[in-house]
Amino acid sequence: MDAAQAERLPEKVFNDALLLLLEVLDLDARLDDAAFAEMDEYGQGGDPVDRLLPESGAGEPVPRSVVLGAMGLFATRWFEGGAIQVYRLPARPVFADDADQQPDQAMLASLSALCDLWFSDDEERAQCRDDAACAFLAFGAALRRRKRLYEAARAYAVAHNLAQSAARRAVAARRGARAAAAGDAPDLAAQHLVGLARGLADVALAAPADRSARAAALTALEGAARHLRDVGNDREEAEGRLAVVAEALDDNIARALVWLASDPPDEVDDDRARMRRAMSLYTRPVWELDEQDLAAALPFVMSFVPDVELVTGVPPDDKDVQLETSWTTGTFDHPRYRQAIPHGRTLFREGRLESILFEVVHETTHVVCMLGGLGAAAMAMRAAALELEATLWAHVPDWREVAGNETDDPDSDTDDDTDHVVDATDDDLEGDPVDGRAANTDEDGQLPGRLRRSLVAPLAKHTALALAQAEQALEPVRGLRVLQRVWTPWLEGVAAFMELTSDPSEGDVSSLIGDVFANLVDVYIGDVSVGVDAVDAELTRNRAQIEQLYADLLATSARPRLRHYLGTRWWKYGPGYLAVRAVVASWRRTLSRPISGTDAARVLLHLTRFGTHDAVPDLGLGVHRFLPEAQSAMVSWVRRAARMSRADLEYALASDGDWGWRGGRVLTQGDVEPDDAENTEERYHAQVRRAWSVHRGHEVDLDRVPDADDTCRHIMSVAAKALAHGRQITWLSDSVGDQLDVQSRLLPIGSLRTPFWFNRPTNTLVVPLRTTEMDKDHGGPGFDMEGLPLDPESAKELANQISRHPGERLEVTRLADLSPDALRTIPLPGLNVIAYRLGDWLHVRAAGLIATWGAAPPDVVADVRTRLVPNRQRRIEAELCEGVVAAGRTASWIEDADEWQQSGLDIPIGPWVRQVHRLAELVRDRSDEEELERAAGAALLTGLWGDAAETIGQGGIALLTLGEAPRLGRLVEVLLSSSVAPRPSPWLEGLAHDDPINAILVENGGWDVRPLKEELT
Amino acid sequence: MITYGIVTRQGFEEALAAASSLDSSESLVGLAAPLDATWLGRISETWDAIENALRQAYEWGRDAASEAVRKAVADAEALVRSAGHRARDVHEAMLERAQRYLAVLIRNALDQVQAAIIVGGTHLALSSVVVAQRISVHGSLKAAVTELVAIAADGEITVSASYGQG
Repeated sequence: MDAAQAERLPEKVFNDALLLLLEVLDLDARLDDAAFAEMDEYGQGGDPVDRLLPESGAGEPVPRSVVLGAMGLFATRWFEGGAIQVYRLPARPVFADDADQQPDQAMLASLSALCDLWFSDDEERAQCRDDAACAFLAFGAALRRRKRLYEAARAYAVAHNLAQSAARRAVAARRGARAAAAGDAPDLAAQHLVGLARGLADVALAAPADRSARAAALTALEGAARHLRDVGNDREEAEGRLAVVAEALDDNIARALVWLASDPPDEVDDDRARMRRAMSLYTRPVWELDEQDLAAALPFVMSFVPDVELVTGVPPDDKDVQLETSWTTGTFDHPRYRQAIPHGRTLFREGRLESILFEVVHETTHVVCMLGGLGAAAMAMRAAALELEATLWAHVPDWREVAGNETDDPDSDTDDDTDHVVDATDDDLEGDPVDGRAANTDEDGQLPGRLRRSLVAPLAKHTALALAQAEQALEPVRGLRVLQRVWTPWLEGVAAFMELTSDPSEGDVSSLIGDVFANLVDVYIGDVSVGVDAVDAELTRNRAQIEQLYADLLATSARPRLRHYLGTRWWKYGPGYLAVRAVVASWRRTLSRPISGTDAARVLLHLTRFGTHDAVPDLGLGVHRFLPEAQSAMVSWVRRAARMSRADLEYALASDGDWGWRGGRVLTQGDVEPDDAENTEERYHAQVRRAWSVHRGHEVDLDRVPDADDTCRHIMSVAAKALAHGRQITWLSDSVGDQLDVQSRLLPIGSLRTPFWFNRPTNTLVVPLRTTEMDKDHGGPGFDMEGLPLDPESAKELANQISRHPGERLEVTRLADLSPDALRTIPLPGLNVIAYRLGDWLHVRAAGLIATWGAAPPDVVADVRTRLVPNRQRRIEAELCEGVVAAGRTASWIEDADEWQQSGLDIPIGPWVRQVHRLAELVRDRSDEEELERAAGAALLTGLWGDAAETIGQGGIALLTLGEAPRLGRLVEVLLSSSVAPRPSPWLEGLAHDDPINAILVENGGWDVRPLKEELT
Repeated sequence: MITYGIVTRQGFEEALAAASSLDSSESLVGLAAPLDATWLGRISETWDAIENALRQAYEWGRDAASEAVRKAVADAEALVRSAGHRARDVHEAMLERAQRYLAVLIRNALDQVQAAIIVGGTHLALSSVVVAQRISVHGSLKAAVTELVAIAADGEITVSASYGQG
């Protein structure tokens, strides 16, 4: 090696890289002396590249063996002039045979990158190192797809050593650990884990204010410490490297972890060494302890857990997040339960219970409301959006070729936390299989790689047909947003009413919300042989206890919460809350008796869930008509609800669930249509069909483009007729329907990632669980520890996954089962389960009131798996239904158009183009959605109260206080007390006749919110 | 020169509105629940008492407002005491409202300072302006509320403005 070059290059890294390339070549091309001789012969005693270039320069196929042979030859003779020869090799040779080219080409790219690095000057070197690192990342991915996992892990090691950026080093190390583990190379995996800790530590040190980065680094260090013993011969060196990381992070817990992972010498047996050995169990993921030793070990390990968790977690910051139920995922992500779950009776120790319980009830109400007619319509629009977007691929030139050049790997695992920090690599091309067949599937009925990454078609040509289909693809997404925003006031009103008025300790009939909430506490019946009645009594006692807890909190917290909703957050909650109250007041008037808030909340929930199938207009209207009709339908539906007849009300109030609501009347048990799977499926398909049919056929609404001239209208009409010949890709909507069905049945309440230990002799999984972020006594996080007995088969699989996923934490999720028959066996909805997952291993056990039951049945486990591990198809569908990417694509595509053509002719469709562009902007930017929501809230109040709603419609109930702050407090108090039942109020009775408060409060068997205005009925 | 920024009715109402709307600046998207609504609501209720005291002081003077002030301070202190581990957060939230109120009040007062004056036929432009009155709304809630009530009762904020040629 040239002395100057040796000085400025990382020689070992370089040699490792060349060695790896040579080894891979040897395996692939059987590179031996004979091969070299063959190469020399191919070069006719001269330079073989001279022979290669004429054939490859114009893209002519080259014998694969020749290219590989040349690469091997140059790599072997690198220091004797081989490096310069690499420069001359074709960048992407076309091989003469049809072999899978990717690993070879990735290897060639790596060799070229090394060459660039070799000849780089001081200014270029850093960039060249990173480029070479990227090349080896891609090489590792290519090898992994070939299942050459050990070589892949080594390629990632080279990438790690070459990378200049800490983030890229971390990515290489993470992928390397996975590949090594999958390739049964625990020593290499453990080395990669040390590299990962180092990389993430450097990332954290570069951003000292970033607490998440520091927590990630310390978590990685913990993972590396737990596998340090796997390193083997180089353990001392690895320990040293990890100790350096701990020092760099300057953290005593990190130092302690490294210390515990490096065992004391066997000959030392003093107290300190014995303590260290006992505590070192923390850094051994797999134990070999008998029952007695296991029991003795747990306190030691548990004593260390809070300290480690303190540095590996990030305290939640309520100011940085919003608690929201997503229409896309059908769940909410409570910031207090992102790294904690309720467990056992820990809810009673929760320091922020007064907020958390109400928030969980509020958001669960949203989730349950989504399960009905509104959710079904939303699901249909999502399916239609997916189908319509898939259709756009017909406009992508050579899309099959594009997709075909990208390979697939069902075992891919690129979804880690830091991969996004590197440039796209070939790893990003991976995907999961998708069932079914479609126009866009390959011969095996699978979406090719590109489509698996994103369904958003890269439109190019500007034709009328493409424009028509792009418009179609936008419509259901925009319609979905409109539906959500139009109904948000009502849904927020129901949720606020449910949260603040429904007392679960009251009455005999519970709601699904009450069921979910009651199951947040786990009940273990010690001895079930005491008999059914005794068990039942125990469960009832426990349920009553938690219901009383909620009732007690209502007494102290409901008023300030309502004050916040109606004061500071008027526009979000006020109109809907008062609308709900007006409906309840109307019911009270109809019945001439004060039905309780709890009973009313139960009926409202049922009505909103099961009675909204006819409250959504035709999904194929197109948003210009769908928007006003959706708002009008919502207001009409609420008014119909307010006008429910006495007989219907009595039935609904008495019934325990089995009733429907259509056309403004209750469908009782006798006349309710069977809501079975077949019926639901039929309705779903009809709705998808309608949404898919938007702007399609002979009868389309051309007035949707108001300024279109005759020519433009004619072209729109022709395009619509052409679209009438299209065929639905029904398997896509079937697939969406199936997956969203599972999604809707299981509601994740909270989850966390935690260290864990597996004791092999007893098949016990030991898991510490963070149960609260703020214990009511000490204000800090609270922890439980759980010893979970596993059956031998499950234990074996867990052991296997531990070796396949070194350094990874166990994911624990608590879910509520919302289906009518919890765990598919008993009619007790809302029961909870806790799922424990590592890699492919999943264990689900019953929790809540039936915690004693133990492991859940296989079909529940399958559903939980579907819910927690969404496949790639569901993930890209979710992205698509969010709409931002596809709408951005359409907007840019339109902006790029110089002219629009069809069949080679220019077509004047400017107004239509502008209309579609505007639609794309609205979907992409969501610029008018808050306005839509406010308009819906105002329309709702006007629809119920007419002119009486005018004052508060302008600015909320604060306008009724005449500038007297105490009036607002008193008003809130009256609203709250009357929500339970109308009551007398000397304060209200003393108000002047023209006091503005009289606009919303009236005498209704006691003071109550104004019912539906008589003349409007 | 020393001048006085009058606390106008409009400025006073604007300041109260700004303080009351402190927790509504972030828009809630979708089907959302505001985190910690219980405490935010309690803080609003307590601020209602302070607002009541400020109104009475502004309209009727400090003496007439004394009972309302006493109640507002007692409510605020009781709220902080009841907050347990969160006492610091609640205390800060109350002071934040007080500071927001004061900031808007001062801005309104400064708006009244003339940009230029003519003295003896000479045109003098405003060169600097300083709030001459020492106003502190840090630390004790009682002190902060008392300070705010005093300003509301006086109906003015002392401002020092400097003018010069050119």
